[in-house]
Amino acid sequence: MKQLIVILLSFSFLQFLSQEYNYQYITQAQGLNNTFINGIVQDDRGYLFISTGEGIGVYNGVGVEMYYKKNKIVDDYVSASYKDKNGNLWFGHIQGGSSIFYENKFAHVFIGAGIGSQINDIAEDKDGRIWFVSQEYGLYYFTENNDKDFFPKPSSNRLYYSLFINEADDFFLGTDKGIEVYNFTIETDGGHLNKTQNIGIEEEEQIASIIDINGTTTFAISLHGSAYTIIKKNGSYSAEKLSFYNLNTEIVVTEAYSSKGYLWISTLQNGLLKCSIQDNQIFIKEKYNKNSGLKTDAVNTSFVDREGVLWIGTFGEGLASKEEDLFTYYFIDKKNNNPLSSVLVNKTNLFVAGKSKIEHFDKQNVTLYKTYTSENGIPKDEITDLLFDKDSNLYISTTLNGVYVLKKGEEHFEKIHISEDNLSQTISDIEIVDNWLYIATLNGAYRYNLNSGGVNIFNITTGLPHNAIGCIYKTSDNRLIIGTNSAFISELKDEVIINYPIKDGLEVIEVNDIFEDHNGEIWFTSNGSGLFKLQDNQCFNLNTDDGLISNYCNALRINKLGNIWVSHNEGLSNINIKDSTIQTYDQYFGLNHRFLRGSMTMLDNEIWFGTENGLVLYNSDKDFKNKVPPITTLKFVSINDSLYKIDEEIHLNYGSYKFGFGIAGLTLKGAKKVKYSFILEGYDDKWSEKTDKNTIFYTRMNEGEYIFRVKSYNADGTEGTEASIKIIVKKPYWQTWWFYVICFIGIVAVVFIIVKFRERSFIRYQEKLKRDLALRTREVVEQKNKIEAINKDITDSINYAQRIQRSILPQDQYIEKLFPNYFIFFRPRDIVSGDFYWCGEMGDKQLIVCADCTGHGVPGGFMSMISHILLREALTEETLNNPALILQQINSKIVEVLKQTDDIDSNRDGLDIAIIVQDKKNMKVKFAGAMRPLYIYRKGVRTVIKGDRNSLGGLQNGKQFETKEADVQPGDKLYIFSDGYADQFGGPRKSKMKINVFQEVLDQVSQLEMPQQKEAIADFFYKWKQDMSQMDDVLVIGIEI
Amino acid sequence: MKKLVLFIFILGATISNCSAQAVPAPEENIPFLVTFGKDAKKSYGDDDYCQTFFFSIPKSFSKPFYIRIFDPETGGKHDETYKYSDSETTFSLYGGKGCVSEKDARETNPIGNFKSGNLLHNKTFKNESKYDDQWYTIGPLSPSQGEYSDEYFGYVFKLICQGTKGDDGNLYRYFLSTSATDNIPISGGNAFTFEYSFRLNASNNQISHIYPFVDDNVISIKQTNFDFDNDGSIELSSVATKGYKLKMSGDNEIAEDKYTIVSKEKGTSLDIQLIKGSRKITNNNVVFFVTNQYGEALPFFAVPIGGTPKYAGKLTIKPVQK
Repeated sequence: MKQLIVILLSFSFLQFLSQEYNYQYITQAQGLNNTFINGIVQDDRGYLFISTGEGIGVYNGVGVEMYYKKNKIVDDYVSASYKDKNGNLWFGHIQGGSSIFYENKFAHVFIGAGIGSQINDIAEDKDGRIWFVSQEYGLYYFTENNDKDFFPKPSSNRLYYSLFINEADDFFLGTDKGIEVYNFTIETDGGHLNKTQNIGIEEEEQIASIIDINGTTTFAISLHGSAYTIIKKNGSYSAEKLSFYNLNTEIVVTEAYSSKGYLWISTLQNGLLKCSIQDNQIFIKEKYNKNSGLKTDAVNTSFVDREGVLWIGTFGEGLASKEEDLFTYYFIDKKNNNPLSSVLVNKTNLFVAGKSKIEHFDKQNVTLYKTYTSENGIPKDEITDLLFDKDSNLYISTTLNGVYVLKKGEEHFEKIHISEDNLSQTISDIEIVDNWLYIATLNGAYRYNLNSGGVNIFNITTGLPHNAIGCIYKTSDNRLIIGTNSAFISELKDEVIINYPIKDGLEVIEVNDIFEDHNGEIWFTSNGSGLFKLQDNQCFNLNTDDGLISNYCNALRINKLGNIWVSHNEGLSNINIKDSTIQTYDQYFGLNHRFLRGSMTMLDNEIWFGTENGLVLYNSDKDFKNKVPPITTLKFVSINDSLYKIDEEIHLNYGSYKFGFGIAGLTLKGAKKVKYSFILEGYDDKWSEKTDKNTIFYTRMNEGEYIFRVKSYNADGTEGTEASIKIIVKKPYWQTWWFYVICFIGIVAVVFIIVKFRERSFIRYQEKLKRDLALRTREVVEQKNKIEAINKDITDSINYAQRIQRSILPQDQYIEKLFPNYFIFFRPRDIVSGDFYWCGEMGDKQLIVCADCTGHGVPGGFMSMISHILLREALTEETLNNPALILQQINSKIVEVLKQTDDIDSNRDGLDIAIIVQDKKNMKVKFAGAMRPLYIYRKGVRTVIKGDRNSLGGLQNGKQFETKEADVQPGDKLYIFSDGYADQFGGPRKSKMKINVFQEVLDQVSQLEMPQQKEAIADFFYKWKQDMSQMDDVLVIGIEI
Repeated sequence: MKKLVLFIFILGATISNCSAQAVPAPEENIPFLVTFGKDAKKSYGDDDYCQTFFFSIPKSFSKPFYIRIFDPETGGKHDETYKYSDSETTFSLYGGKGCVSEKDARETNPIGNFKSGNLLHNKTFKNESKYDDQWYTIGPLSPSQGEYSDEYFGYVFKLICQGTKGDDGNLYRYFLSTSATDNIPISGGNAFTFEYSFRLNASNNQISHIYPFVDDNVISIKQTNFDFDNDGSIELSSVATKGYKLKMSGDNEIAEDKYTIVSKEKGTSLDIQLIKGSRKITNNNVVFFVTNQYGEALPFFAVPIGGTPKYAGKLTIKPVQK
């Protein structure tokens, strides 16, 4: 009876909503050369292998690469495909040949010689043999190890179409006349296929497919749709016929396939049937054909990939894919727009309203129960809302004609009169609270008492911010929220209107729809300003900046998961409150029609949307993330724009390179939304941000070891596998260890050679030096002898000159006569001296002189001799009274004798001199000095009488000398001296003694007797000088009065 | 006048092209193909109870196509029934290698490996009302399922109709179509056979045409007709000949004669006209085929290759009078 009802429902109604799915197609545009699909299989990498009549297309989620005979396929026409347990792909061809795809390349298995008819099926036995079913020939098998055997015509007068090998290793061979069962044994003479039985079926039919369903059921189906389960009883198999529960036409079956618990039956004229088996009946759950939006009814094969995407191999329209349906599409008339301005749904019924019409559908089958039109009292106007009250009376609102009600059990709508005002006939929304029907109009919100018919109005005069009401919403706690065309959202509470400012109450917001979330917070949509939430009397806004498709928001619902659904003209926005993300849905998901304002209704997991043409159903049960990780691969690696192998390390010589990486994240579900993250170890510090770029470049890459690693993420963010490749750019040879070693060895060798060379050279040089030395020594000895001879001569000469010079010095006795207490410390630097002393007397005056001629040695000697003569010549009575005259005369004579001029080339020789003339009688001394002073110590106190600051001889410049006179007392000690003593280097710091030290010496010794003074002065000099050379002639003269 | 001629030419070409894949072709003026059950008498007009037709799909065509059979069942409105309809007819479609290149497939008699190629579709019809006076569609088919042949201008499919049971005559037609439900010809598609078994028009003085194709290797042809029942006359016209009388057969008889090809006829079709006489023979079924000098059958194309031959006229040479 139940079946009868269903069948009646299926056939009785003339009109129904045709369900349409969103299909994506792979055709020539994606590179698929031939649009007749014979087989679909997916390899372990995730690539889809599409068998066609003109080659095999390999689909990577983006495009198809075709493979032909030239790519090691036996034949371009591929009639069957199969993936074995090891992941190898096997292909059968039209002339009986077979190919394999393993280790990422195609290869011939068997060219088909002697077969001559197409491979219809491929199966694998327990021992891993791959069996090929040739339509007219029979069977043959191959193994991966190239073992093979052929079994022609296992049964006479049969054509062979399908093969299934069960767990017991029984072979079920589908022929053009039913099913035969074989077992396979290997004897000493080879393999044998032994027919064990025919499986009796009602008619001798061509068996299109024999498959396993869920590992429990062996299922067979014939070309014309006769279906069977094969059951083993008492050691033999029998077929039990299945009937289609809801199939109302003949079908031509090309293939049956089992996946995800469903049976997928491909037919040539009815599309793909998604079925389940229950109680020996096949239930068609869904049909994928022209009626559901598929381009063709001709489906040759189907496949569900690892991500759950359904692939439909059509015969002539390429490969169609259909992902799990987030949305289901229903059309009344696909070609002509049929706006559905309001939708209402409950568990069993679906009401859709458009212009002047309401249609009542059975929700389960989406078949039409009843249509209400103007004949039922519906005005010729757009219906804006549908609403049932608790008594199942149906209320409708219209754009221009007010509100109507269809009372339960009646067929005619009646108008509800609320006002005669035209604006009150334009209704945007209706809501029922208790016994009140609230009506949103352009003239305010009316409240209609369903029992008494009384009417109240809420508008500007009662506190609403505007008379144009966009929507009315009853909250779970029976508050009434009113959206207007104003700057406020309003609430009717205890007959009082409370207005909440939306955007500080400064901007007019046209409110379109209102809904309450699970926390009791109110959300409302606006026309141009996005989505708002009313929380704690304040409004918060979400708009396109936050991810909404558009700020023009139509209807609004919040489902049981707490997700907010907002419809726009362009699609849908889904706001996940938990993680504050917004997912949008647009044409990519097949949402091609404009969503209408207020046309949204929700029931449990379902949300129904009315569009400008047809219905869209969202089912949250089907909305789950794709957790299958995408398979990440490197498509290519280019170095300086040249392609390199991607399956091995890349070694490059030293240089500067541009690296290019082509990457792919293989997912067949939402392939266009795959993103990537990558890192080039050795260059990057961290993984990149996710990007949709599938080609990555690095420039100016120099020496180093680099590892490029990339991960892909599918459209739902599931992280995929990782792919990587290592690139090594060699160091320059001068940075390699061997170069260092060679350099070290080279340097050592060079040093060794140089040392050796220098050693030899040194030896040779030494020998040469020895020779030269001997020669030179001989020469030097000779020269020495000569020089010694010369030196001796010179020395002898100088020694003799010394005798002469000494002869001019006064004798000690003479000096002692003139100056009884005196000492003279005279130490010439050389044999002859530039310093000399002299004394004499004239009258009662005694004279003593200390002279320091320029130079020392022989030149000094000469000058001392000249100066001595000039001194003697200058001595007169007069000059003794004024010794400065002595200096004047000597100065003049020197200039004259030595022919000195002011020319720069003229000699500047001369002398410094100190002259003391003692007048004992008067106890006076007169002193004249040229650059030399006189020190007088009286009772240990030093008095210095400075000489004139001119030397005798040399540049004249008007030299003048002056005689100084001093009274002396007995015991006074007078000292004159040359500069040789004070200029001597030595002492603790090897420095010049200077006059201060000399003065201290005199200060210390002046108290001594004259002889002791000489010794002390001599001692100090020698101690000061130590072993240093004497710098000048030294002459110190001391006399005591 | 020129415009009128041009219009007629274009109209004719358009009509010809539109119905190019109808078998028999409209320009042949043959109402039905005919195949009798294997138990029928040969005098019914079928000498081998088998008819093979080939369909050629141009290489440039890559869409799905269909082969449609009109009235495939035996019995009912159009068929020739004896006593009661107990016959069966099997239609088998072949493609793949050997489909046409196999020599036996091109013979006039169904012997040897004439079922060469890959069996794509096989359907047996009995007396079934749901197919009576209706189209049955095979397909969709992919062009690449056929055997590619340059000689026959594309991918070739072979449809064999065999009377597998009974003695009734199955009258049917074919159409090579891009649609499963309508007869929409394939641009550049064609159909041909090497032996034609068909029903002549019932009405008097109707002329049926068949167009064997003469390739470069043909020196002479031999026409063979079976069971023409002396129902009028058979004439041959070509670009070089007009109204050449051919021998015709009587009831259950074979008639044959030879015609020598002239050079200008090579690469063209011959127009063999079966001209019904004044006698009213309603169920006249005929078998007709043409072989070359080697005994190899020549194909009849649904669309004559090079067009329907137009007699070029005789060149008359007269001495020039001075």
